[in-house]
Amino acid sequence: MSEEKNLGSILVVGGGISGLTTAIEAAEVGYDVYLVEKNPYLGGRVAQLNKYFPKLCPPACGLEINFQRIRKNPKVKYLTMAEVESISGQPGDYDVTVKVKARKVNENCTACNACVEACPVDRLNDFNFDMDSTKAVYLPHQMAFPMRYVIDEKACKGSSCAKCVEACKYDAIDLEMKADTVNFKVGSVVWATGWQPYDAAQIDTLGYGKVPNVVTNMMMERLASGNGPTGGQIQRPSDGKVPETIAFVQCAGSRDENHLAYCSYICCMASLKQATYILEQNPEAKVYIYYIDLRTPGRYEKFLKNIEANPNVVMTKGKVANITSDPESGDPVVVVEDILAGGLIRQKVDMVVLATGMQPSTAGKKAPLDFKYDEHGLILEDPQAVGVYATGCAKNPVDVTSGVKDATGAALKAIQTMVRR
Amino acid sequence: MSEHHIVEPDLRFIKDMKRAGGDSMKKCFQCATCSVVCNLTPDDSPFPRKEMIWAQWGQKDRLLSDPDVWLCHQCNDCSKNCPRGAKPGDVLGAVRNMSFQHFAFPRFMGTWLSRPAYLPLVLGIPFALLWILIGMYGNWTVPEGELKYSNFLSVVAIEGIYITLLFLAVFALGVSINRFWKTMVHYHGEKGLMGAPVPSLLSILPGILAHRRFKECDESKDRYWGHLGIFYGFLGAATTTGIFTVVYYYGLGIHSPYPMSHPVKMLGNVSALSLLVGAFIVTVNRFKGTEKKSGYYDWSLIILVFGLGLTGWATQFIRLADMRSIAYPVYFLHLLFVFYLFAYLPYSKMAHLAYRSVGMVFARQAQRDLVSQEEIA
Repeated sequence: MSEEKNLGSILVVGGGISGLTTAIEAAEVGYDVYLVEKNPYLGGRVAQLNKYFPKLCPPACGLEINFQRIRKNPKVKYLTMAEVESISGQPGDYDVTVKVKARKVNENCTACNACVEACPVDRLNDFNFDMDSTKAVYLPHQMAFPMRYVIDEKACKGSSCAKCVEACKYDAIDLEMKADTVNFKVGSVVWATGWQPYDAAQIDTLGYGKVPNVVTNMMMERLASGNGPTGGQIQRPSDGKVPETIAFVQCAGSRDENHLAYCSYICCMASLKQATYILEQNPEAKVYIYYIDLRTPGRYEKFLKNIEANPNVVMTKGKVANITSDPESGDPVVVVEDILAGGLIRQKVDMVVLATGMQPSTAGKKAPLDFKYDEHGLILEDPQAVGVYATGCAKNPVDVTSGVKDATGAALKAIQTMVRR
Repeated sequence: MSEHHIVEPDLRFIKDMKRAGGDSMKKCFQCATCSVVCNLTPDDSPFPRKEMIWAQWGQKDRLLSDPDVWLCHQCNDCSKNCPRGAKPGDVLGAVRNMSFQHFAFPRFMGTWLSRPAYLPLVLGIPFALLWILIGMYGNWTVPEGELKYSNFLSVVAIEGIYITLLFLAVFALGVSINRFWKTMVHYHGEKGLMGAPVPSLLSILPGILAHRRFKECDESKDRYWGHLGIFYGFLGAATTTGIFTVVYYYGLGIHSPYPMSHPVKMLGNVSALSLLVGAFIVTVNRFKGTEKKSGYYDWSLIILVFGLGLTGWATQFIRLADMRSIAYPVYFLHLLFVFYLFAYLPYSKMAHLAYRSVGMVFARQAQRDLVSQEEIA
């Protein structure tokens, strides 16, 4: 990699596992990369996961390796709390405008935590799906990259309080910091804005938000994570009880014309994986998994067989279409038809996990590019495309393994745009 | 598992089902959301998930012998929540339509009433019959003096044909229903024959009269009012006709027209209003889309109800207003609608009053209508 030779620049939008991969792979070939991330940290959804399937290793490990690669490589310029406003031009020559929100904490921050101790204001912690809270000045999560605090503009009382400014020994807090606009030129663009968990409150019948102790699969990831709201001890939200019986509701809003009409591919494996979280902490726990069909392709089949073999795991074919509260205990009761046995089951459990699917971020806000979308907001792959590409869950719901492969391919395509000129 | 069951799909039945309103059935992927959201299903072998796979596989015998199809009151909660748009509510409706055809006596009548192609024949026969009857026993010209419909066609001639029709229809319906009952017994014998039909019928009757099952619906709550209006409208109209014919005409020898203040006459008018209001509610619901998709059977019945109510009222109004020029044609139309009602009772959607009652009796005996079990307790 010769420093003097400028091969060209690539814009990667989205700093999740797909965007990180594209950015780092392209940078390691020698291209300059701008990585634009909406959150105050890189790592995206993967940063919220407790373990990967099927190896059950912590994603923090893989993310840490990627962050190391970024640290060592000056060709990756990342912008957090940033969103692309506009892109114009043609392949090889795009003008990009990025809006960067005010973090209000500058690079002097050493993550000493003095500001947090001084801050009098609480805010709900969206990283943990509002299951706990942080101060208005906070570190996004323990493994956050960049390792720098951030101030929640909505929660912070501003200069009238300024207790954090006094507490900070490093002059790292700047309450007057303003949003900024950044312009630069790139030769190609990779869109990797990923996904949101489907809003479980939309599913009337499943009681999310109404019946206590009905959580989503992403909430379960946080509950099981060492840096989560319970320090990794799986407890049900209402009373902190360690669940002895737990039901997984597959296809919660997925493969459903009224919600997400498609299969999100990962939820079956996610629930099977989460069954191991439960059983590892409490081998006596009873795990019920209710499914329509199980999707565990290739080597995942072995994972399924292992879980199925556990006598404390009960697999039932049938979709849970009603969740109510037990009138006496208040515990959730799932109602399902056991299709193979042919009868309605009303199973009372301590806790329910809704296996909600992945909705592309582009279902809401579209990219400022002329992508074509399907009816769900997923970006349609255009084999003729030159200059702008989509990768990862913006295009198709995938697991991390497939996402990383696709993202590497996207890096190659982004490079080709410039080499072919 | 030494028992084997060889599935023999009846492909023609699948096609017929699709035409009878079940065209969405192939979209079902057997998730059983429908069985869970249904407020009327028993816990044991719930419906309509199992009916959906039977329909897909052309399991005609299972479907037509299935009393559960008649426990369904078309709430449409299943269709609303169905993740695939397979509309189980429509499919069960199609099974009921198929039952009218399949068990019909004589069978060709079932076919005639199942398709609009036969409509000219279905309407042409009563038209011709009435025309001939008037030619023989009536008069199209309105005589001087008070406007009386008995001058158009004598009461005896009308009674002669309509009472005969009614008896024929009841007989045909009896034979059809007997076929239906035997089929259910053949397939579910050991369950269905527990208890005797009459006490079972008596035990479900209060529920039917109060329309309790309709109240269980979530999605189409207004169906309760629509069906209630039509149900009691027909009951009132039948009572009016019965009392006037049997007690007044033949018993006391008092001939029509009867005064407007007469209590039975008032019952008749209220019944017509009830029919029309009920039919109006049903029609509105159909356009709102909370109902199942409506097909030929459904629209035929609602047009019949409107026709009976409107021509019935018009006949009376025209007489009171002395509108001589249109009096007889309107009355003729009314007679045509009543003919349709009587003659095609066993084959039209009207037949559901018998099929549903019998299906519910069977289900009560098989202890499948658990909602009613709670009612009894």
